[in-house]
Formats: sequence, C-alpha cells, structure tokens
Amino acid sequence: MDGPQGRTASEWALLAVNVFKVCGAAIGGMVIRGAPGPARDAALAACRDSAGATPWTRIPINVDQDRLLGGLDLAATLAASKPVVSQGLLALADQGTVVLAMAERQAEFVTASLCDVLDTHELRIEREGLAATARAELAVIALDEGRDDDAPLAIGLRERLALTLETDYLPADVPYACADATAPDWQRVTVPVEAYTTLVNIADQLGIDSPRPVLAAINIARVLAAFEHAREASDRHVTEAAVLALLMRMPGGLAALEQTAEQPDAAVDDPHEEPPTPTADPEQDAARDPTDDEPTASDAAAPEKLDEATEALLPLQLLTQLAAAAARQQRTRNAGNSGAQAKANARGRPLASRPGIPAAGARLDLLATLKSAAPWQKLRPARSNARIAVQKDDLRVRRFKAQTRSTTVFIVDASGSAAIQRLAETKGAIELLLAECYVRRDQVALVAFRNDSAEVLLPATRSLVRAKRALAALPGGGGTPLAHGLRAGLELADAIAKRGETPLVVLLTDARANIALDGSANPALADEHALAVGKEFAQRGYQSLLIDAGRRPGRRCQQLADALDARYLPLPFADAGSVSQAVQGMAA
Amino acid sequence: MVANKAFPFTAIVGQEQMKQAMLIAAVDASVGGVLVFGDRGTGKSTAVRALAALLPKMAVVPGCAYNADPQRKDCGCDVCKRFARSDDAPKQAAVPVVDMPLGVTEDRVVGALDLERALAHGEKSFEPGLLARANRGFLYIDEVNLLEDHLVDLLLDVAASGENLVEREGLSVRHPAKFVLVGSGNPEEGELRPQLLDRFGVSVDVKTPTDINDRIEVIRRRDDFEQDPAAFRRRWARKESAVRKRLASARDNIHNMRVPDNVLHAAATLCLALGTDGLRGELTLIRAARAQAALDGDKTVTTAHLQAVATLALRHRLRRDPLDDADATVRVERAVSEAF
Repeated sequence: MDGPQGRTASEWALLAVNVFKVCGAAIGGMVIRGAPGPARDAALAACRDSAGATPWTRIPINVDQDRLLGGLDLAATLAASKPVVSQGLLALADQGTVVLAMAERQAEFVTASLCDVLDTHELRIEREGLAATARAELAVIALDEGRDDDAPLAIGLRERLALTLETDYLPADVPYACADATAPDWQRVTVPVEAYTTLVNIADQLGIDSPRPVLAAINIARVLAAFEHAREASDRHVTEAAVLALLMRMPGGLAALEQTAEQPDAAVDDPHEEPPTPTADPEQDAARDPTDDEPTASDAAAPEKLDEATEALLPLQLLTQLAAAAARQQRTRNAGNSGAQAKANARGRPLASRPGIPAAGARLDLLATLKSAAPWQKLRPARSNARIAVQKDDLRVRRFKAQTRSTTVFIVDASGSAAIQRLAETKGAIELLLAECYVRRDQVALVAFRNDSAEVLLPATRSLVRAKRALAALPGGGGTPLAHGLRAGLELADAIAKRGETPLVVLLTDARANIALDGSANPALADEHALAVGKEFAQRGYQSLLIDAGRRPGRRCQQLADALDARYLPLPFADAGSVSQAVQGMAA
Repeated sequence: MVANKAFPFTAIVGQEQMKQAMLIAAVDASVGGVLVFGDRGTGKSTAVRALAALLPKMAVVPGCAYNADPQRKDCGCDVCKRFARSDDAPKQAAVPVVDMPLGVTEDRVVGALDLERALAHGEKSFEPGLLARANRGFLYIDEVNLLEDHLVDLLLDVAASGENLVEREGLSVRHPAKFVLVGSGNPEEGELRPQLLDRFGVSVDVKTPTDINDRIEVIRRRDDFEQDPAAFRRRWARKESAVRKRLASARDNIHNMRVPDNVLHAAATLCLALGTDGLRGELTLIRAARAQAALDGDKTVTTAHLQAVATLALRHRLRRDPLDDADATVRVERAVSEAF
C-alpha cells in the first residue's frame, strides 16, 4: 500500500473496524448509518471480536429505564427480604459493546444515559431506594437507520462516537474477514504537536465545533501508528485518522473522498447530490433549495493552511462542500429530540401508587407493594419457601400523570395570492403564539406551502431558537398548493398524535387553491383536492382553526373550514391578539 | 464524586465567565444556583466536576448523613444529638459535589422509607436521599432541561428554602439541605421555562471558542490529561493551589465585606433600567458583587465589581420577548455602559 490515496471505500471500512476493535471504548464507538441489509450485518459482525469473550449487548427500541439502568430485583428482593439490585444492561455490558438498535428513534433517557456512561465510565443509579455505582467501560455501536427526513441521532451521542460507516456507500462484500490487526501499546505512541493544529483545522473546515471528535482522531492516529509498530504517529497516520474520525462523520463523506481520489483534477460537484441517496425524494430536494443561498459558517471561514500531505488527501474544497451539505441537512431535520414514544401511563409525574393488579400497561410498583406488605409480616403465617408474605391486597401499581402536552402545527399559506400581502402580519401573529407556546412549554411545528409544494419548515420543537430561525427564513410568492400544505400538515399531525401528544392545527390561508395534488394549475381540481385532504383532519378528530387571511372573508374559506370541521376565524384586520385568543380557546 | 480523577479547574481554556460564576457560587452559596447553558463540548461538566477539588475541607459531625456543621447544631438527627452530648472531635470532610444521575427517581432525591429496615425489622426509618448528601455542598444536574419538570420544581424549592421537608409514606422528616444548584444544558434541546430561569442566581452562556489557537490548546491539554492524568495534575498543582487559596480567603472575608450606599444605589438603578422583575435581581447582583470583591481580595464592594458580575446575575432575568433577537448579554452590557 503506497499512500493514503490508494484506499478504496472497502479498505477504509476495514480500517475503521480494526480501529474499533482495538480502542472502541476509548473513542466512544461507531455509528453505522444505513438501511438494514447485508452490508450492515457484515460490518456489525466484523466489529464483534472473534472469540466472543467480551459482552455484546443489544439495546432494543422499547427498553425501559429499569432494565437499562438497573432497579430492584423482584425475585431476589423477596427471597432475601432486603433490597437487591438487578444489574442494568449498561452495567452488564462492562468491558464490552452495546449495540443500540434504531438509534435515531431511541428515547432521550437512553441516549443521555449512554452519553453519561461514555463520559464517566461508570453507571450510577439512584432509583427506587437503591443507590449503586457499577463500572461500565464500554463501546457503543449505534445503528442509525434515519433517512433524510427522519430525526437524526441525538447530537450528544453522535459527537461521542468517533467512527462512522455508511453502509449504503459500501459494497456488501467488504473483506472484513482478514486477520485481526493488533496495535500493541497504542496509548504510548506519541503524536507530534503539529497534528493538533492539522486536526483542529480540518474539523474547523468541516464545521465540527466540538473538541470530542478531534480528541478521538488523535487516539485513532495513535492506533494507526501502532498497527505499523511505529513509536510516533506520522503525518499520514494523522491524515488517515482525520478521514476516519472527521471526514467519514459527514454524510456522504467517504463517497466524496473516493470521487476526488479517482479524478484528482476535476472539480468536485456537490458531493451530496452525486452518490445514489437511498431516498431520492424530489420534494426533499426542493425543500432544501430555499436555504441554499444562505451563507454557512464554514463558507465564510478563511481557508486555513493545511500541510501538503493533508491537502493531497483532503482537498479544502471538499471539506467546505461537505460542511455546507451537512449544515443544509441539519436545518431541515429535527435536532436531538428523537422519537421518544410516549406511552400513556408510562411517563410523566409519578402519582401515589394505587392498589391494583399488574396487567397490561399497569406496572407493579415493587417498592410500594413491599411497603404495604411489611407491617403485616408478624401477623401473617410464615410460609416455608418465602421470606416475605405478600398477598394480593398488597399489590400496588404505578400511576403517572401523563403530561398532556400539545403541539401546535401551523400550516401557513406563503403563496403569491392575497396571502402574500399579509405574510408579514401572519408572521407577527405566529410569533405571538410562539411566545405563548414557549411559556406553556408546548411545542410548535411549522409547515409552509407555496409555488408547487409544501415544506416542513420546522418539525415539532420546543426550541425557540429554531422556531425563530425557521420563521425568519419563510419566503413568500408563487402558486397556492393548498392540498400539498394540508397533506404535509396532516402527516406532521399524525406523527405527533402517534407520539401520544395532542396536535392542534392552525391553518392560515385565503383558500384560493390553484395547484392540484398532481401539480397541475387547475383551480377547480385544486379546490377539490384541498377539500378531500381537509376532510381527513375531521376524520381523525384533530382540533383545528382556520384563519381566513383573505382581504375579504369568503365562502371558500368557510367551505374549507366545514371540511376540516375547524373553527373559522375571519381576520379582515391583522390582529395577532385575537388569533392567539382563538388558539388558546381551542386548546382549552 | 471522585475529585482526584477530575481535570484541573485552572486548565480549562478560556470560558472565563463560567469559571467566574462557579467561583462566585463557591464563595457565597446564598448567591443561588448556577445555570450553564450552551454549546456541546465546552467543558460544562468538566468545570463542575473540577470545582470539587478546589473547595476547602469543612468540619462535619462524624457519621451524620446530612454533613451537619458541628457549630450550628441545626440538624437534629440522632447522630448529631449524640455528638452534641459527647466530646468527640468534628471530622474534616471534602465539600460534597453530588452529581445527579439520569433516571433518578423522586424517592432517591428527597429520601424515603428505608426499605431494608422496614422489611427485615418492620421499623419505620428514614433513608436520606441525594438532597441530604448535597447539604453544604453542590448539586449538579447535567442536561437540566431533560429532567422531569416535577423534579426541577422540587429541587428549586428546596434550594431556595435550604430545608428538605419529607412528608410521605407515613414519615415526617425535616433536614437541612443547603446546597448550590448547578444546572447545565443545551438550548437546542429545548429551553428552560422562564419561571425556572430566574430561580438560578447566576447564568452563563458558553460558546465554543472561535479562536483556532484556543481550540488547539483545548485539544492539547485534554489529550495530555488523558495520556497521564496524574502527571498533568502535578503540572497544574501550583495554579490549582493558588486558586484554592484565593477561594479560601474569599470565603473568610465575605462576611466582613462593606457594601457602600452608592453601590446599592447603582444596583437598583441598573435593575430598574433593565426592568427585571422583583427584588431577586438586585439581591443576587449585590451578593455576586460582594463575592467578586472577596475573590479580588478587596475590602469594599465598588461599582467595578458590580459591572463585573452584572451580566452573570441579570442576563436571565430580563423580561424578555422570547423572539427578540437582541441577545440578553448584549442588552445587559448596554445598560451597564449607560448606567456607569
């Protein structure tokens, strides 16, 4: 192998797996991004050590907090008549690997717990009358199946996992099967001071702000040097570490690198468009367009000097393009707060447990059960096999006061018809509502439609920073694809309802639809489609409010409101106050 | 929390405001909690965990679950009562910095019926929780915005009253719980309710360093530390002990600090100009300025100290239009420059 340029995608993948096996826990672990399939299975299997001596724990999507962190062990507690800890999955995985299935959809407590364990290398629990600390030095493999429009992997976990494999860009038959590489004493390999500068510069070019990936890159450089029994990491090791820890982290990073390697002189086109994305969704592409012209931080950054070896492998241009593509993607996705699937009576403020039989949905509150049994022990006849006599009357089940959190979905007409004149007023009304949602801790989501499509400008979020940004960037003008807007809003509301929250729909439009669902400019058909989609809101029973943004309140809006079964609010004068009053009335 | 595993406080690159806020809270707990909000990987957790190593030891009643102060006799637990009658010597102990783990349940926070005793002996006794352990120290919550609301409410209430009242499961217990609440989080994951914001004494907005050299320095120190933590700490020992001394003398002098009328007047003017609600703003501002003066080794609080802490103490108290783009920090700075 001559130089770093020689490596193919398969070879990079093999290298990443070898690095993972040597120092997975020290660098957090790996994200395997891509749809389930043979390529992913092969990569996952390769990460597992061949002897199978270390724990390999898979965390399913529906894991509960007790099992993940540990809790009271029911059987053992009863047998020993004193509290016994049952070890959580994370403690059991000590010195091994945790595989996080559907990582992008895992609940916040799962990702946040993993982050904590990765930082402190121990698992501390303070739960249900137990206080314990267990060692948990582990590597995490997060299986990220998120497509373009899904919520991405929680940012905190993402930045703690150093390596990334995008299996969609890898052949299914990567030759992982070669002998395990060994890197004796990699911790002792020295890294030249210039390496820090090089790596920070590359991270800066890629728009990676956090120091964690860079620190991991340094350790990877050590491992790469140790593979070759070198005492000091060379420039090549550092550059290769940058590829593994920094470049491969960017979506489509490796594919773009390969391209530049094949045709070193040709200008790189937008790397994000070139590789065959699994979801070639025209709507998604269109959705990105309006944000294209915004300058990103990395565009503005002056090119820092990279040394020649690095420049040869990682052209500056490539870095800035990847950064821009990632920033663009980030904006259309919902950050962090991934699909925590709220189940009724499983979360929220705990209420006093009540007597009851644990059955579907209702979980036994062991602590409360034992407490209610405890005073009677002396009176109850002791049985030979059980230390504690628990009777049916003692059983207590948990109750939670579920937070009835609502999410207000704004569907905003940003078309060129009457609404455009009032877009500013509309924005004013929404801002006021946002401020109130913020105080109530409700979430908001924003869908806008214009030209020939609708766009989710803001997935459900509580972050005001993001809401503000999305609203400021709301452009106006073009046709009125009302049905598209309604459909996008409906999908969003469905997703919210599925999470166990209540969607409230606020539609601001003049209802002068002129683009039909098939994209044709046919007002009659467009109307028909809009009404058809509107009826689905009524069928699902979503609370909705239609604000007539036309200059003169019209029959068309009334009609649409009937279809939606929505409250109708003509708004001949912009009056943010009455809008917010109406929405509050709806929520009550 | 194991203090000797921590990254040295003084080795944190930049983030002066964050360090200042923590030191102020360490000097005078009555300033109230510290809220650190901002970008990832900026050393928020590192700073809190490092703080433990700087705090001077304190005298406690040996064996008391609440770290009671032998001088004050405010605890009232059996251990303390026995201690008061005996002539045992108090124990020197490290100031507790309690790290609240994720997924903590309410019974472990406030304390609850001791299950083991209840099961084995049928006795009703209280098992102290994290609040007891944090008494006279710090309670750190990472990702405070992910914590369940009812727990945040509870913590703020106890932090404000300095006392934990447990009325549950037939128990009625009251014990001192004076601690400095330190919360950290990332605003991209959702913000804190405004009602909670101003319950924190001082707040800091941390940003990733923009200077490339700072960032390189961050990486270099962190990597050095991970290579050989012990040697790294030895290299920083002198700086650490300088800060430790400064902190200790500030804690001694805080009670003799004089606050002249013109400073009080300036604080009131500033709060009025910014339209902060209630008196909590003024009070925190004065207390923080006093702690700052003590840290600087001064005997009298001046308006310069006031200026130095104005942003920390007030930026989260502005009655804000949540959509106003003007950064709170900028607004405070503007008001400060107008007022002085």
